[in-house]
This record gives sequence, structure tokens and C-alpha cells, in this order.
Amino acid sequence: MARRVLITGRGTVNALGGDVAHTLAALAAGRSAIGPVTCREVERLRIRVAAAVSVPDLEAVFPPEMRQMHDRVSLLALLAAREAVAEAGLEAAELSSERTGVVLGTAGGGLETWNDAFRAVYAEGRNRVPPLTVPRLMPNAPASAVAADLGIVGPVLCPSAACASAAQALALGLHFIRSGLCDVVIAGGSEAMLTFAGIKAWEGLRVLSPDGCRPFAADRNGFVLGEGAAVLVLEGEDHARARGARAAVELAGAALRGQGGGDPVRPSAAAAGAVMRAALADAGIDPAGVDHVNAHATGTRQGDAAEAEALARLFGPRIGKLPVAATKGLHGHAIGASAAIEALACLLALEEGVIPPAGSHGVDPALGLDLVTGKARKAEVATCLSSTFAFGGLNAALVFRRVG
Amino acid sequence: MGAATDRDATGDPALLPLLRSVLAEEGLVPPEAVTPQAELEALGLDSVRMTQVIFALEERLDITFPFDGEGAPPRTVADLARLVARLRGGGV
Repeated sequence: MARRVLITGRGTVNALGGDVAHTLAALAAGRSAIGPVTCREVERLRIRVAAAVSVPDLEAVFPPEMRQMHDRVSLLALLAAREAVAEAGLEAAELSSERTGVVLGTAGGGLETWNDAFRAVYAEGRNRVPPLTVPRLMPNAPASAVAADLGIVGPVLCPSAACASAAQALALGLHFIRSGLCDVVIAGGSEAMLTFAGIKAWEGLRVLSPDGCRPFAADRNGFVLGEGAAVLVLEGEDHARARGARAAVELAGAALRGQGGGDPVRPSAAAAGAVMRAALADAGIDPAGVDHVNAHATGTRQGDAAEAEALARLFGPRIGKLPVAATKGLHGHAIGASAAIEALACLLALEEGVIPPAGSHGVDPALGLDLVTGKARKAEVATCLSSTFAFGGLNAALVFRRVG
Repeated sequence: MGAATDRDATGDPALLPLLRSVLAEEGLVPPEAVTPQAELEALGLDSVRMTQVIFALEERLDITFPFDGEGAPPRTVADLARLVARLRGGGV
């Protein structure tokens, strides 16, 4: 029997709130954090809505030397990790054990730093950039910052897999603990792409909505970029019990799959189904044992349709009665952090029996889904499946289960 | 590098206020600790802080510091002042 992996801490900063409590409250209230973009040269953007982190004020929280050293993507990760570790009650000796690791994903790394450096050398014709440009922009900067902040000497990794970065991090954390490499893994993702060029890049791909994210709605027209960080403390059950840590949910299974070719930015229903099936098999349950699905559901026409098709094939006629959450309608798509932010929504459903709504829109009847929309739904949820389908054809699925 | 004379020991005195302000702003060093004799390492200027200081001096004075290995690195504030004075004078 595989070593069971419990979730003993949670932390986040995202558009919905500056910590877990505010995020869960906003999810339960169905409050959308999508609003106007405020980056410089916003007048040159065609897409002017996003879900930005507004609290806390990073300038007030971090001293100048920290802000000098770290890009926004790392500062967000630091706040999320500190909150998760505090909730887990991990002490310095546990953090500095060689058996404690950090796996923190990001798709873009220090995009603001890249943007500023390129602006300096290309647009402004300058011949030098700030000396900390490289350590600020490197994709492993958030993982490194968290590891340094917490005094981690065990394995520290940064999976970068577009929208699946945090899902890969959580899956790797699960396997590190199952395999006995680690007892504790601080895992999740961080993203901060709401810069002029960051939004421009997504604009070019024509996947962003100009007016809001409406997952699975008939009039859905794209996703809305978000930002933020979310971190879970994953811990071997034996280790958690020995130190008296509280845990209500386990990460029961995970799967990572390549799409096997095809269009790198068009999701495949077959591949989506395969990864969800594999995650359930890893958790040792069949589709009939799933009470709730937290969908990837970015709000694009093709992506949502492919996902709905995959869910219908996986669950059969039962899909019409299986509550589906699509919370990117509230917190936007935080790309490499999204799977970890959505894991918090899964925990809300599992721990408090509250499934957050996707927004105030209706559901496309052609999709045949029981989408939770309008307001949160009370439901008894013991097992939750959460899926992520990333550009580049990298898919992931996670299974969360309540523990007694 | 010649032997230090009294004048060399403090570098260009006119540079001290500038160095004090840059070391305080970019190096996060208390201004009162910035004396000609103070050793840069003892002021808490690790490699990261030192690169910040060099960047700020380059930007403010429109000079270019040599890369590592081209001459001995400055050890004290006076060494730094001497180096800056030389770079401003056009010679290295």
C-alpha cells in the first residue's frame, strides 16, 4: 500500500484574496476578481480585463532589499509558502531536514523583469540592465526564493509546464513522498504575467476574452489572465501523525500525460480523458467514486468543448448529475499557479461541503454538464477530481479525498 | 596600483558624498559607516549588493567598470573612490 500523502498546510495570494481565508470566502460568495488592466501603456492593449492581485500591498509587506532581489512572481510565492508553512505548523528543524523539499512551478518566471530589461535595451536604447536581472527572471526564482526563505536543504525543483506547472509540482510532491525521498514537500505554483508584453503575447494567440471569463457558457469567448501563487504542504501520513498535524484531505492520486502530438494549443478530448482516467487509477478509485469535478475550464470555445466531451466519455450519463466547478470565472487563469489555486477550491468542497460557482452566467446546454453557477452549492463531497490541460500538450490530473 | 599616499588614501574627497549616498541607497549601508577606511565587505556588501552599487555608479556617472579579473577589486571605500576617479578620467 502506497504511503498516504496528506495536505497539512495551505497558502495563497491571488486576485480573490491575500490569503486562504479571504480566497475561500470569495469563492463561497462567488465574487469575481476580474477587472480593468492597470499596466503601463494599457491604451495599446486590445484586451483590457484581467484578474490582478490587489492585496496585500507588496511594497508594504517586503523590505526594499527583498523587492530589489525578487520579481513579483517570487514575492507572491513567498507569501503563499509562508502562510502554508505556518498553517502546517512546521518548525525550523523540520524545514531544514534533508527530507523536506520545495517543488514550485511557474510558466513564465520573472516576466516583469524580462519586460523591463527588454524595454531598457530595445525601446530605450540603453546599454545596461540592472545587475539582478538574471536571478530575478529565472523560472526557478520562486522555488529558490521560497527555499532560501524557509532554510530548505532538501530537493528544490521548478517544473515549467505552462498551465500545468502547479499540477506537475503537486504530482511530483506526491511521488517524492510516496517514494520515501521526502517526508514533506512544499508544492504549488506562482505566476505574474500581467505586464504589457505578457498580455500582448496572449492577445496574439487570440485566446483572451475582451469582456470576461464564462467557463462552459454558450457565449464563452476566451479566458481572462490572472496571477498569484498557491502552495500546499504535502506530508507523509506517518510524519504528519507523529507530530500531531491536522489534515482533513489527502492528495490521493495524480497523473501526468503528454498529448501525443497534434495541435499544441488545441486540447484533445481523448488525451484529457486519458489523464483523468490515469489519475483515478493512481488513486485506486473508479469514475463512479468521484463526487465532484473541478474542471480546467478556461472559457475558450474549443477547450471547454473538448473537456466537456472528455468528461461525458469518462463519467457516462452520470455527468449530468455530477457537480462541476469552473472557478477561473472568478480568479481568472493564473497559468502556472492555477492548478494550486483550484486545489484550494477542491479543499473548500471537501472540507466544508461548499462548491463555488463559475460566475453568474448560465451553462451551454449542448455540453450536458451540471455546472455550479450563480451561487455556491452545498454538497457532500468526499472525492474530487481536478484536471489541467496545458499548451504544449502537457496534461495533468489530481485526485483529492477527504480523510477521517 | 602605486603605493598609497595620503591623498590616495581617501581617493577623490569630492566623491565621498556620492559614494555614501549610493552605498546607502543601493548597498543598504548606514551612511555614517561609509568612511574612506571602511572595508566594503565589512559594510555588508556581498556580491549581489556590490553589483547593485556598481550598476548605480555606472548609471549616475556614465562610466563602465571593468569586468572581474581586470585589476584588483576595490577593498575599501577609498579604493572604490580611486577606481571611480580613474574611470571618470578615462584611464583604467
